[in-house]
Amino acid sequence: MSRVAGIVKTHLTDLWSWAMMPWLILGISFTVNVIIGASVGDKIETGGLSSIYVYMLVLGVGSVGQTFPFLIGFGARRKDYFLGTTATIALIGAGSVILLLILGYVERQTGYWGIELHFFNISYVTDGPLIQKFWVLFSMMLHFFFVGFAISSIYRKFGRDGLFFFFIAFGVAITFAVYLLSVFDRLRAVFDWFVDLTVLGLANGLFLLTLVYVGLSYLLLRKASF
Amino acid sequence: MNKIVEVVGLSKQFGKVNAIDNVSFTLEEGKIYGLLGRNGAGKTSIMHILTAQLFKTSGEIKVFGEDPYENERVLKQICFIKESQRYPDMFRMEDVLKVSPMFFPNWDRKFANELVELFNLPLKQRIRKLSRGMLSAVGIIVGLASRAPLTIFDEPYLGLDAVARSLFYNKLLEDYAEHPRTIILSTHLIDEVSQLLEHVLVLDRGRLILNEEAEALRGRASKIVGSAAKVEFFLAGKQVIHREPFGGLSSATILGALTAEDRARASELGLEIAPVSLQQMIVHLTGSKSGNKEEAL
Amino acid sequence: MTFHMDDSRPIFMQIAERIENDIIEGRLPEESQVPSTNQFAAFYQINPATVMKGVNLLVDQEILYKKRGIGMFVATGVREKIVEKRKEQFFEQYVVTMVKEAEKLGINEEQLTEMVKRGAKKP
Repeated sequence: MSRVAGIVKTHLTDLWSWAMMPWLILGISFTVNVIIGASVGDKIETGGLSSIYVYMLVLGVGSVGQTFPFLIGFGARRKDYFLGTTATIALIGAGSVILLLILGYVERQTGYWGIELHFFNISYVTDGPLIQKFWVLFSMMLHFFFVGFAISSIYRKFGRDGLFFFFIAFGVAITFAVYLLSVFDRLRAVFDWFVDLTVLGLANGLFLLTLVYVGLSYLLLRKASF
Repeated sequence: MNKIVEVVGLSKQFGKVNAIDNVSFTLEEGKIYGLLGRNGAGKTSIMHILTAQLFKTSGEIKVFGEDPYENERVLKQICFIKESQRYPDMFRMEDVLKVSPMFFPNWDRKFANELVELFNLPLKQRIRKLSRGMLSAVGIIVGLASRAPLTIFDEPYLGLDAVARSLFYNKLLEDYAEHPRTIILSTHLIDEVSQLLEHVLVLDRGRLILNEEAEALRGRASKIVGSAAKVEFFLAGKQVIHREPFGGLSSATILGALTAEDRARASELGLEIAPVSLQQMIVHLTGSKSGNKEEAL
Repeated sequence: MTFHMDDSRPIFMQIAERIENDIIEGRLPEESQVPSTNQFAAFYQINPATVMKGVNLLVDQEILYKKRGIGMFVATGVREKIVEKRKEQFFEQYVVTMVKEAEKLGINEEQLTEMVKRGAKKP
């Protein structure tokens, strides 16, 4: 168990990347929104919050390259690396989401910062009871992180060329799927399905997808060598 | 003697290249081994396979009696200091000191701190900004303070000056005496470490060409110098590992102890017999012709 | 590396020779304690197992003996013994080769003795 803790500790040595950068980025995004909100004077709802989620994807990509070679070199098991990394993102994710919820509460209490800026309260996403809000924001955060993590794992296992072919294959698969849907006149149905999706359903779906990425990354990193 | 490492028929191919070619050996508990050979001979690949960081193509390996892959019982007993060990960008020496005990159960904090001072390492500086020599010192500190039952150093002293290297040898022997363990020193610079080794493994183009006690190898090779024809006459039936013509003279290095008879015959032929160092012998065995000399400088 | 051993001969033999030299030259008097294996190893920067082999060679020749739990000691009367052994080696190594070389150069016995005497006078 101490080795898993060692892996968490190794990740968190880089507190700057894990805990400061995301808030710095979000802070800048918020400031820009405030300026816009103040000048517009109307109710605005922006996607500024997404900046922290995009950052999580970048962090997911970066963390494997930073820590995997180091930790495997120090005799960590791949499984422990995985558990430790998942624990770290769960920890950071939960902490970040709690902070987001607090800021959302402050936002509502201050009458949306006095300028009708809906930054932390976004319709659809943060509708519903507190526990659901937490789950939605949290599962989205895990999702973004592990998308990045999976991409980086492909790179670890198959190198630059592997990643290149993966994206080509991915693009072809999507194109082909859309083509088939349109041929069989199903595109509309898929679109409607997305529109009808509740936010809770979305969060659950993303969580399931996240599990797929986690499993995929694990299989890749189990066989990655140096 | 307990067998710490058992390797049977190990091979590793990268594409069509045989990096390791049917290698077998065992390592016994409590000895200092030298894994020697030129760059690209397969040393690093073997060490990576032993520590489950690289996958074999075929063959069998056991470390502490078990397969090392994903095996915590095995991995926590190994400390492998890679020449190419990477550290996260933000890591400083103090972070290494903080994290290491969690991976090496025998970690000695006091000893580690003492070594940091001895090697004059700045605690607060980013590791990626350290010089090559200082980076080597970081590895040496981790390798020694981990006191792992199997400690592997891959080219541990790159960039270190003579004083620091000597410091390393002293600390290694001192700590090894107090806490005996199995140590592998892998290097292409044999000269400096040869005295530290109890047993020598020599790799050449993926094959294990020598696996013997270091002491048994010293004095095994001799150099015969004299007129070319007479040298050739003397060499009949002997194992020649190196030949060097020099005008009408010839110098040949042969393997195998010389009998009193041999010596008498050489003296009759007017040939000179000179001793060959372990380093020289290995250089000849692994083919000195291409490039090795520049590296050795 | 202050004490580089000759890498073309077994080091344990060199260790044994060094201890013998120390006994002959009085640095290790009879019945005195010999440095431990680890002290030797650290001092000369060589593998302890190699030192042990050298020390054991001298134990087999009864030049050193082991006091249980304390360490190795120089046996009584061994200085004489080593000197005798060395004289024998000296004869083989230097005198015989010298005489051979002298023959080659046509130096007769008388001239050779004269030369040895001359050599002894040199400071």
